[in-house]
Amino acid sequence: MSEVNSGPVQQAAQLMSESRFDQAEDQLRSILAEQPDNDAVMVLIGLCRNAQNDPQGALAQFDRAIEINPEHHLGHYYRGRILSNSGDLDGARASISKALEFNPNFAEGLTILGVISMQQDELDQAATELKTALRADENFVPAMSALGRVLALRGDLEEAEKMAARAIQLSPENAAAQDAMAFVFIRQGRLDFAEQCLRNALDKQPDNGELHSSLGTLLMSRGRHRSALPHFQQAMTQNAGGLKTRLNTASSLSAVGDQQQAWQILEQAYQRWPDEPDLRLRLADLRLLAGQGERVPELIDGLDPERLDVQMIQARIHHVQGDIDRAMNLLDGLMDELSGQNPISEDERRIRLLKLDLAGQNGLLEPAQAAIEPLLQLSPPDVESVQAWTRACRRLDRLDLAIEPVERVLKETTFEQTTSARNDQARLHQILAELNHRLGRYDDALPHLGRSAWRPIQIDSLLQQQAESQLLEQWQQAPLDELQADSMNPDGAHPEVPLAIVLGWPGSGREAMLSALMEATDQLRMLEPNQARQRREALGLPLAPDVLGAMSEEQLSAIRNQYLGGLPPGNPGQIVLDTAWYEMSALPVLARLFPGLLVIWPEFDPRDLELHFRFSGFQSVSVLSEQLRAEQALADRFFKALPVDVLRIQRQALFDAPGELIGRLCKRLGIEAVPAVQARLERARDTKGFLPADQWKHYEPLFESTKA
Amino acid sequence: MTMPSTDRTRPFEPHGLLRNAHVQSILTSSPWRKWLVRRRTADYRGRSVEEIITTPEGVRLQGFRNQPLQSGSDGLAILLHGWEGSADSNYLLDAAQALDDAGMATFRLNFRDHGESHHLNEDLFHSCRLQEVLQAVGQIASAHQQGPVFLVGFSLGGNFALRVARNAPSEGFQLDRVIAVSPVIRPQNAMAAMREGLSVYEQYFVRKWRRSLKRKRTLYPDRYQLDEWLKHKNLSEQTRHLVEAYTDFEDINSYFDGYAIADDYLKGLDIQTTIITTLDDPIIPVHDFHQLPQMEQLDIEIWPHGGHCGFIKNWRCDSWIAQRIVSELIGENRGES
Repeated sequence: MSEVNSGPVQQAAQLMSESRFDQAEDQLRSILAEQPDNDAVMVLIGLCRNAQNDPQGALAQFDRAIEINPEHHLGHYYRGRILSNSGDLDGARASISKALEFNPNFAEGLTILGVISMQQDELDQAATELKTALRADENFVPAMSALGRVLALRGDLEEAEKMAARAIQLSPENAAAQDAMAFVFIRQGRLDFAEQCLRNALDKQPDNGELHSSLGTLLMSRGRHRSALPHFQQAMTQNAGGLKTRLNTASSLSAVGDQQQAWQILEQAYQRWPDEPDLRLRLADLRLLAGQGERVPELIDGLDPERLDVQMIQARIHHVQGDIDRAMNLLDGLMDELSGQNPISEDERRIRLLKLDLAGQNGLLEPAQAAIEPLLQLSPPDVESVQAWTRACRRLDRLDLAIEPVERVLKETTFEQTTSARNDQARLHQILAELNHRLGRYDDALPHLGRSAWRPIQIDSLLQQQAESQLLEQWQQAPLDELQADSMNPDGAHPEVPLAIVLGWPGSGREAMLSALMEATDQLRMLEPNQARQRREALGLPLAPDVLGAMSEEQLSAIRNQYLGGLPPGNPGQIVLDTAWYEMSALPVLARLFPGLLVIWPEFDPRDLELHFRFSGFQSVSVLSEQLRAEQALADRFFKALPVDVLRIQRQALFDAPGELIGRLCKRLGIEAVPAVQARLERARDTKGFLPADQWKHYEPLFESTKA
Repeated sequence: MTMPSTDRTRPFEPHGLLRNAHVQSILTSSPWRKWLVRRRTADYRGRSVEEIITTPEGVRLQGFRNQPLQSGSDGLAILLHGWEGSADSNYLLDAAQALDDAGMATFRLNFRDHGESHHLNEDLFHSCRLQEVLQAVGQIASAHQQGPVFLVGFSLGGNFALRVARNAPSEGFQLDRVIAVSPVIRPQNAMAAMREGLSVYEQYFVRKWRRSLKRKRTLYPDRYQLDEWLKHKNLSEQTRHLVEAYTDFEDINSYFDGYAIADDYLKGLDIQTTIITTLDDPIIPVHDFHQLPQMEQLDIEIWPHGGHCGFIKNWRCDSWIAQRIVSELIGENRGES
């Protein structure tokens, strides 16, 4: 092997250690020009090529080095690494084995062999190779980490934990060791610990896309889809995780209700991986949900027509094409092939649930009952089946049929102490509360309302931000004189842009009003909800009183322009409606920027909203209630002192006088109250779980400690 | 101080081998009892809802709340486990199940680094961390508006329960009743009793503490280098090492003094409190209880048998103390004296 300890080579190695691979390569090539047979320099150039995303160039260098010196074990080793990364595991094994011929105690090589065996599902062989690596170097952390994974895969979780923990102990900075430990903890069901390890690993390597993908997948598996999404985003930015990350991202987006973006992600993935059957099926599902049934056949064309998923998509295509009989017949045929199995197979279960869904959508009670009955007869019935039946009963307007199975699954199921199982349990209580309420069985609903919490309120992160910054308290005590209209905008620096916002919490009627106003999009200049984050950033939210008070007119003007950045064209004087949700402490800055701001304010008794929170399954109702009341108190103060024009909406008006309400709303916004707006309001009111005023009185025990 | 004389429950009179203090103390945490307890509490544990309590200082403690299936009481019992125990310890689950059966809501709080909660806080647990437990109990108690709140602790949890009882009013919340079972009174004496008695107790805690701290090191590897600590073979050395390396206490004695219920610590206690312990406790010397002040608010029951947190009635491992707690608290809840 050639000498590498000369000065210029050391300089190149130094550059490599500083990730300055292009400069290192230049240096190495100048050495190679003088020493064209220096195999060691060739290997280093190969490493530089690979670090610059040129694995083929790297391979060429390693091959040349091996040609010159067939016993260059590092040349064989790095060649194997490149092949392994490209998925050629057999080729990689051959190269690494060659390296080991010339250096049998080469721990790195033995470790990679073990990893390759693990990837090929040869776990015993992997364990042997990794243990050999550790005999060669008992403190070799990568081998320990890999062995921890292998032992966990073999089910030896105690030894796996010891091995991975030892790796961390020896090298606390090693992200891969933390990742291996997380893998072991996941296998043990210790998901909190696994999460901590992955976060530790990301502290060490914040740009490691694979780690982001792993953490995202873990959070997704725990039902924490909103927390998972930023990690999936990071993983995709780093081009890590491949198709699996895209599929997981789409799953999390679907779970948080963003089918649109899930669909977009999979459409993009489809451009890159057009032949992946799982992707095509998921995309078919989303295209069907998006009402693009005509673009689905191309996705399932070429897939195995006998595959159950393909046939189920085919049934849904028949359904969207209006041929419900054909869809049902296809599903019945599939069910006939599978029925009679005991226990009911997963495939049969999925077919029955699809048939139930389609029958429910078409108002077919008997086929719906026939489809679900065997699943409901299980002891206990599974949660998903019962939830699907409940949805069908709502569509069929037969809530009375839904209650007994939900009660039975709650009674007969032993829920594990996992977040997901507890959420399932709470969701069932939520369903029972809602069903009994809608049937007027308030006494039966009451006990379930106390156990229905399973998800954070949609605005949870903004509320937490407001609470942590103690802005409600600060604004409650801040002097508001400086924000009076007569002290603002003295030089008329801003052109008038009349702005309107809709305040109010989920359940206040805000959603229904905004939904109705969507029917008048062409008459309004709307600031869209999906740009809300940018607008909040422009406003500098959360914003403390002293910060706002210290802002110059120039600063305010800049904020104002940035805030209105996405403003659609319109007539001067036409009202701009910001559809984003704002916490109460955001009002002063909006009022300062837009004197005369129109605030649409759905008035509420906090108890009505607390009840809505419980029916919606929101967690921490007592905390929400406290903050809601603090916001209400602040609203009283702001509406008196700030230069805002408040349009108050009475809750009961949404039920008793929606026409009059829409008339007032549209008049203030300067738009025409077309009939579609009122119709949309009524539809939204009824579908968004909006409760009439004073329903809380049916559940007084829940409110004994609180006052209006 | 009162000797056992209660009309609320039958006296604790175990037979045969169960009169032996070591049988009681070892059986209470034995795998056999664990198997029985897990079987009979499967439904109860299945109904538990995990909660993370965050104190004003940002300390996060894990707990498990249960609403009873049938109402029988509007009270809430907060239960504290012993050192290196957890919310799932046999004695704690047995007591919680009995309270749940009686219709009382329960909240089983894990101390920092106990159970599966090592990830929640970077700093290590030690027994002088009263403030976070006080604040957590205060939060749980204050949120329970619909009825009385009781605090029950076992062993070190009993020690915490007594200190919480003493400090609750100054923290701004009230408890309606406190029960401390086999509480640690003077830590130095407990340590000495373990050192001088059967080695099984010390080795039990050494093993569990090592496992716990190894896990902590795995989760916070940048923070904890425990190789030297792991070389220690007894609790005294382990404690001394950690006190010196990771706390602000001058020495191990200052640390022990920090959580001792000694001298007149309990003077001024204004929450009705009952200590239940035994003459034959191999870990907590009975003379520690004799030195406690005699006060109207403090009942001390010392039973001849039962070992440390034992009180096991039979080989089915039925718990006398669980029923005793129920009769005490349910009676209290109904306004009985």
